[in-house]
Amino acid sequence: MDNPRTDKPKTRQPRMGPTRQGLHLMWSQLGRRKSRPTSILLAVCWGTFSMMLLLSFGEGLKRAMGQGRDGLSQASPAILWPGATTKAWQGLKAGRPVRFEEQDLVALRQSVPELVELAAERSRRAIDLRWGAKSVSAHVKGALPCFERIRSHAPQRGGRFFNDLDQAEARRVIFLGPALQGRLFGDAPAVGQTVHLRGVPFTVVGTMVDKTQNNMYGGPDVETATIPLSTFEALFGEEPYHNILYTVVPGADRAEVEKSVRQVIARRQHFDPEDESAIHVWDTGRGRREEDAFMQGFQIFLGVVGAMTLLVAGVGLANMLFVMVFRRTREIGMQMAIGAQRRVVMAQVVGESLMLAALGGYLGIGISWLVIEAVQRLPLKGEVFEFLGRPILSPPLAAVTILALMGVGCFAGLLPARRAARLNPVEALRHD
Amino acid sequence: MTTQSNTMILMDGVRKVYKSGTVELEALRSVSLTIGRGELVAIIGPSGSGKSTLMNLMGCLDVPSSGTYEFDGRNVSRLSPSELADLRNRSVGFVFQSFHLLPYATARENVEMPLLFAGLPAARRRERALEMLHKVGLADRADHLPTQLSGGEMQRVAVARALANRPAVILADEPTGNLDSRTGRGILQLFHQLHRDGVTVVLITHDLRLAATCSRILKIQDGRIVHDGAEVPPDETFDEEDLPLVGVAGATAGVVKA
Repeated sequence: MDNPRTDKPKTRQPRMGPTRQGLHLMWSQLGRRKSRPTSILLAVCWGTFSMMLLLSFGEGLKRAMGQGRDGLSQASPAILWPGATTKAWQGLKAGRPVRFEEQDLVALRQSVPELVELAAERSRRAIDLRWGAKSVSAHVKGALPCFERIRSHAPQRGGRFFNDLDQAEARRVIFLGPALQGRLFGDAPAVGQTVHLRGVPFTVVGTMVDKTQNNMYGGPDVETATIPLSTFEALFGEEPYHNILYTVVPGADRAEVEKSVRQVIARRQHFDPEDESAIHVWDTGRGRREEDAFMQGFQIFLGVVGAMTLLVAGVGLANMLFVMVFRRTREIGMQMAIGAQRRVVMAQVVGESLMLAALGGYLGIGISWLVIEAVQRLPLKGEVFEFLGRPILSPPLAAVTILALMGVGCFAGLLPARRAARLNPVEALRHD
Repeated sequence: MTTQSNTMILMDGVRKVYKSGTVELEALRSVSLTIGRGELVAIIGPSGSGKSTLMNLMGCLDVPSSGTYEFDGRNVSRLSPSELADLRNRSVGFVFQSFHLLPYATARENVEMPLLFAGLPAARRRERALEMLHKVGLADRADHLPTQLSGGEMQRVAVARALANRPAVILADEPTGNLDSRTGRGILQLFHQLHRDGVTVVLITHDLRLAATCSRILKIQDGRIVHDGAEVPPDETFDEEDLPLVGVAGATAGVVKA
């Protein structure tokens, strides 16, 4: 037999550190032991499932609300209505009505650099709209081409919204909301057809993509027929604008912009710029921020409720690991006797904890995915899903859940691991 | 006296006191001894005499309450838990009465464990573990689980594990205590062979016939060394209960020594 002292272990390769040693040992023993931690896997799985589902419903609700809001516009415009003065100003009496005119737009364009889009609209209700022998009563709006963007007037495939040329030449083109289109045309194709508005022939250039609209003024867009503002004036005369709309550059102080807008119009029309009743402003962008904050808070709340369930699972996991450390006391003593560093022992326990958390988590994420897919495929239609939304599993939510799982796995493993690492090897070896 | 460089284990006035609440138990009272490199020493004594405490101290599983202990020239009291673990890993090989094998790991994986704690890469661990299993005559059992092995084979695996990092000292605590006499003899022969190879071997036993095969016998009683010599102390008799273990005591000793 050769002399055991001749060959000292001297490798040039980097040596494995204690943590890797422990993880290696844990990994190599995984699944070989008889005890099957089924109950803990179920607990972690349930916690993950709860958290995922709550977060997904929150996300679904947020998106449903967002869609409803975006039905009005994604560009967050501010919408102005003319009011009446309530204060005397420069020798003029209170109670004068404010009238939006083209010169207001010109002045705003010159004086408020933060404005991106500036538009005006007029509308009339109960106008006779006829296609062939069929006739309906319609809400007709004169608008500008930029409405496609700032008021979410997206055309369906095969059609278009009217453009700058239509506006410039006051062409008789008309864009129909889908509900109105349905009433007039049924299932027949609308684009390219000639309809008669108050007896005047118009060509349908496009129909709007169906949308959910939670916020509106004047009526739902899906019920409206839209024509170029210039055409509207030619047809109904140059009455004052019903509304002025504007969007602002990103990052601008919306309250300050509103103040400037009020000042410009007040100067032109001679009223007190502080007179809030002279112009009514609905800034959808300012509401949006509050809504976003609310939804975020709501989602965090749902997430915390889910995380609590996960935390309970974590306590169960920690408890199971304590029992495991107790059962393996002799084994741990043996490892220490043959030279395991404390970190080797710790890494085994924490590693096992993370493995269990990961396994339960995988199951939980898988099951919640199945449930969410199933709910999305439910053949239910109507108000509930339109406004509450359907649960949505998004990658960031999965990431949040996985992070939470890792945290739970780590913390659940840490205390039992410390106990294991602090065992006295002599006593541990004697343990039975 | 051995010279410093040849001294493996040096204890001077070592005491070990265990405290349990207000009660103090003095397991070792002022033990002084030296064990030279390459010696084969048996430590005997009745149960509760302090044998195991002495072995735990020698193997650096524990540190003395007072007195100095130098292992291979290093003062153990000054070492951190991490340094002690390192010392145990590289310089000490433990063999326990109850084997202490990982039940769900194969013989090879069990032998690889101290190599893993030494940070060796997988290929070298495997190579060395197989070499050690070959040395104890279990090359063909490398992929067996402990439950598929006999008691003697399990203890051979434990010896292979103790040898894996080529330690300077092998400490065996009742290594044949759970084995029948034939198997026990085989394990004892293994220790003798290691001794011939130059490894320092300390055997703790209450089996006098086993002790009689060693070149030096220490007897410990009530935490003190009461005998240190080449012969079994004269007041010791081979117990009745020892007889079924090995049959005729003198004959056994002879067989092993031959």
